[in-house]
Amino acid sequence: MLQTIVSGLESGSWFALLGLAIVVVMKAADVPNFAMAEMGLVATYVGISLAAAGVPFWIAVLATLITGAVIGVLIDIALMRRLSSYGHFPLLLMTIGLTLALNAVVGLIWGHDPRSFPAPWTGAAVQIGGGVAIGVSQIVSIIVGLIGAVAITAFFRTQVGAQMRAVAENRSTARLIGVSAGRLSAIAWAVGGFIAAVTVMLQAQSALVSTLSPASLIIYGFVAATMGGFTSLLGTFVGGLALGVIQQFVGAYISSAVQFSVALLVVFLVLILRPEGFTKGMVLRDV
Amino acid sequence: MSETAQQVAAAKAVPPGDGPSGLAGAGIAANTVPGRTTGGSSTRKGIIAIIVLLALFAVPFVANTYVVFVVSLTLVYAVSTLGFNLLVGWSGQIGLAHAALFAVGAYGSAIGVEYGIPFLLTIPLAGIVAAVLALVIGFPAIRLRGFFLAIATLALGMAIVELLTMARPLTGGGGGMSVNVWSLPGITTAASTYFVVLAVAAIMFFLMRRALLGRFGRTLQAVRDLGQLTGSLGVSALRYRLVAFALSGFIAAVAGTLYGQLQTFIFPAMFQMNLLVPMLVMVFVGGAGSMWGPVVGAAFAIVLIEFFQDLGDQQAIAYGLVLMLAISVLPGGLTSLARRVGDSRFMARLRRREVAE
Repeated sequence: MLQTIVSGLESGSWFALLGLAIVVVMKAADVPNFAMAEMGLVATYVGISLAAAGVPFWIAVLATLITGAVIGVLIDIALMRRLSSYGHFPLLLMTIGLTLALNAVVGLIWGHDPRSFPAPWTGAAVQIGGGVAIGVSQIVSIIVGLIGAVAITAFFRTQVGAQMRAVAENRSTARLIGVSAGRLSAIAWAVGGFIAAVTVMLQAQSALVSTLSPASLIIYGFVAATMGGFTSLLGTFVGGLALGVIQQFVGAYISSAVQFSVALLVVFLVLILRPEGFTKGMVLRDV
Repeated sequence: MSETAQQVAAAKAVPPGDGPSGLAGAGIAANTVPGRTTGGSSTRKGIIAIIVLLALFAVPFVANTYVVFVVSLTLVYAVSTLGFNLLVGWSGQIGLAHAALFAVGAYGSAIGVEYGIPFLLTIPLAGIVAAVLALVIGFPAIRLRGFFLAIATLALGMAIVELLTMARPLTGGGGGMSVNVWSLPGITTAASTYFVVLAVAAIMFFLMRRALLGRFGRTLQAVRDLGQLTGSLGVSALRYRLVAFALSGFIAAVAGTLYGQLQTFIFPAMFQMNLLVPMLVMVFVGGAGSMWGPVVGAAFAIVLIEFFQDLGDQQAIAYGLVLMLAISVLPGGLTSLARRVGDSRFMARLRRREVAE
């Protein structure tokens, strides 16, 4: 029971973080990024290769994070920005094309075998009462997830974050008062790529990742983002955690075959009942 | 909200016939249908249509089975894209359940035939079932717009494919089921299927042309560009949005029934993202909201698929790169290229000279 909850919170943290990455890019650049998990995968594989070549763990981690951010900025500048005046459809397709290409590139360079990013604590476990053991990597995932959520919330309270919200609210008015929308979208993509790298890296230090794993991760990330109505950071975070726990319970007590369907059902219900995300209306003061 | 209002304002401010960048305010690079582009008398167009049809009719007599199969597949995808384009291009709703509704057509027809319903009758029947399903899927359209609708419909489409996998007694589950191929009496199967596909495609294109170039198509465009504002003109935006969903679902399923006949064996994994992505590409390349774009888009995608078939591992990377390149170079789709050339100064000068003579 406790074990199931902890596993649920662990995978929930991944979903929540990826959902937050999606929301950040959606807020500032108005793009639903289907390639988010693939961006994280590329960054993580760079880190894995460095670690395998003998680079110290923390430097490999740092390199992974920087790679994620750089990929984000490059994608924004090279591909996305010039499409933004053509409406939603080309943007959506571009991220899908990017997903295919990045995934194929990873497969070409690193192969399709599952890999892990072993951390110093991988495999270690903490014994708690009743013979239940909780992996340290699980605790790391949950704590990093929490820190990530707090950090992003704090980021949106800074001046840059406030400008980002202004652009999301109304792009042309924000530009009129001197906000550089281009710089902000680059920052948002950098933050998004950074968080995506963190997410896939967390997944890789606890489980295996391969070219197949981003496909389901991105769906769950989108489910989490949907629960926050693509705007609420809190809603996305809590939604991701809840999704992870629901999933683990469904897997443990019903069947792992229907896990995916349950996630889809959650999206549908949220969109029908609370299309603005389920935390909407709870923040009455924030007008 | 204010964003929408601005987009409308932007769409209005642009003079007609300006390039795709001007029309971007409408959310999707849209085409202006009537007027200049439809030059020539209707009899001439009718003659062209008949010549094209005759040429297509002759294909099985002159080409080998492989070519016949490829042309059939192109026609099936063109029909399917016709429906997808109606939804995405003409009504401006990014619904992503199209591959699933396509699957409903393929499965519906195959199961119907197994239960003794004549194949030709299963085509409209599967279409109606899918239209009802599409209405249910489009129901979130009452409250959702843009990407939210895209994600909701994507989820529902995936759920349909999951259901097909679970309904093992009926569909054979994930292992798939074989399709009884119907053939016209006295002809080999490949050619027979081709003729059925050709006939259905011709009918669908004729009907859709009638509908889209007339009042219905224009109303759809008005609903796309103005949204709820059309209410003040006595047009229920909601009703048109839902009708677009139902119609596109119907067409998807009709194409799906033919697809099943062509493939002769179907399984749920055929109808997931790996089908949805090419479908999106076909709409995009053809130009969202154009009339003949679906044919161009389908042909492009088929050529691409056949061309990259031998690449093996590099196939996916080639798809991704070509898609990215196509979007970067031509954000309005391949057919926008023709229009851009047509709108260029050089062509304008040529036209003027013609008039002068």
